[in-house]
Amino acid sequence: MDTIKIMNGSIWVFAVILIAMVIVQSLMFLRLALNYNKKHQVLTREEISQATKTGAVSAVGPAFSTLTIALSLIVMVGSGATFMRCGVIGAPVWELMMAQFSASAAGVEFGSAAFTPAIFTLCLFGMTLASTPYFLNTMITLKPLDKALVKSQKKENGRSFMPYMSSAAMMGLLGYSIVDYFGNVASIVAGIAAGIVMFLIGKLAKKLKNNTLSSFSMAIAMIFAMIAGQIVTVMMG
Amino acid sequence: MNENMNKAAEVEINTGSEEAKKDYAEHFMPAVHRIGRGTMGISLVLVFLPVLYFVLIKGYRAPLSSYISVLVGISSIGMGMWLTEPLAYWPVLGSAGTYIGYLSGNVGAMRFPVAVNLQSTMKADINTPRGQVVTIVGIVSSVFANLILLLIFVLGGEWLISVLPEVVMASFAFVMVGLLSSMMVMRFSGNKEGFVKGFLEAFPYLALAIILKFVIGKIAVLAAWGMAITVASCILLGYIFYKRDSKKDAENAAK
Repeated sequence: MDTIKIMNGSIWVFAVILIAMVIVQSLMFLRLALNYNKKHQVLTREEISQATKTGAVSAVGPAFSTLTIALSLIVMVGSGATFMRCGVIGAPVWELMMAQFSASAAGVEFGSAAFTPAIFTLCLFGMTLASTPYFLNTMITLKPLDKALVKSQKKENGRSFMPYMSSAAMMGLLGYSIVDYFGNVASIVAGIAAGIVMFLIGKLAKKLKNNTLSSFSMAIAMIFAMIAGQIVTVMMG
Repeated sequence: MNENMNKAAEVEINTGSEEAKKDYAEHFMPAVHRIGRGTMGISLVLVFLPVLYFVLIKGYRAPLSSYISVLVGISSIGMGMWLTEPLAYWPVLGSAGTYIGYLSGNVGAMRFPVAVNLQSTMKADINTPRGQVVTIVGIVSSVFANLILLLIFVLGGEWLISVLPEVVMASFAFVMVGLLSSMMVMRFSGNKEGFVKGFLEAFPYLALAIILKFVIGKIAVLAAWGMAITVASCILLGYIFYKRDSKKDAENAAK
């Protein structure tokens, strides 16, 4: 793995630059949103803090769930490249696939003597290429989409189509994604457990008027899913 | 009377005052696209810097044929998703959320759940100023949390895995299914008329999506387009419901 040792240092420099870009973008949007809110008070102070908590908490579960894959990525491409590729568009699974694909396109195995800096650079190219067209897509399509949205809102009086659209898209995405877990009894039980827990926490949070509880609700539901799924797995041996 | 006033207040919170709406359309949304397009454009150049540096300055050159086969291979895998995925998430994340999500990554596992969670609990539609602001705040917060966790994992991941018992590591396999199902329940509960009504309203979309996933799974050519086809079909179904409800409104008004 000399190749990775040689290149890791320089990659960290680029990683820092790119992550800085992600942070700058996020801060710009945050400032825009908060300035708007200061002027028009669409959210209360408590609601802002609830949104902040919810956002932070909900990153924890999914981040942990990809921990092992992130680690295999570190073994394969080093810490710098993992940080760079998972911090800027991309998730560990996808990056791992793309790195493997790129190396095999050159007929080289990871960790072998043939895995030279040139091949590593090729892998970086593959991983980068696999996500950047998304940037172009958003740059081209989002503005016209919003314009079309405004137009459609102006045309229709009374009932708006927008809530229908976001509900439909949301449920479409959820239904589409959950099917992947139907094949496994433990997963089904985990899903049901999370759903029930979520329902109960929702009721409780409303009753107690406790916003912190509702920020943590997804994380708590996930912990119950993990426990339930694992119990079933152990029981089924 | 009191109930009507409450309803009016609720609508006011959701849509904002006239002035807020005007500011939203004239300044806020244009600024979203200015920031989004600008940062995505700069990033598009920045992400290729490491490769350019290693190839041009350090001279780590793999044969051009390898680059071409990576280009062709990855394009054929990715094209369907590149074209359609951001559009599928846009009705939920909004434009700012989509820009952030597609620069920072983890759209399905982190940004989408945050958006669903906040919009459901705060009863804020994404196309209102309130929905936009709450979604941006939540997603930005998830971006920072993810970067911090990622840094911890990258620096101390091996140690972390060695201290976490195997049974805990294995149970992470159930995080995603738990996340998806709790998002659904949250959405049902967020319905103004209660959980059951929420479920009944969502059911046709869910059923359609599940059926489509099974059907599309059988047709290999469509695999990369599956998500887009599903979301588009659900939106079409939503449009049918919208027309039906609008017609009912008109009939009620005529009475």
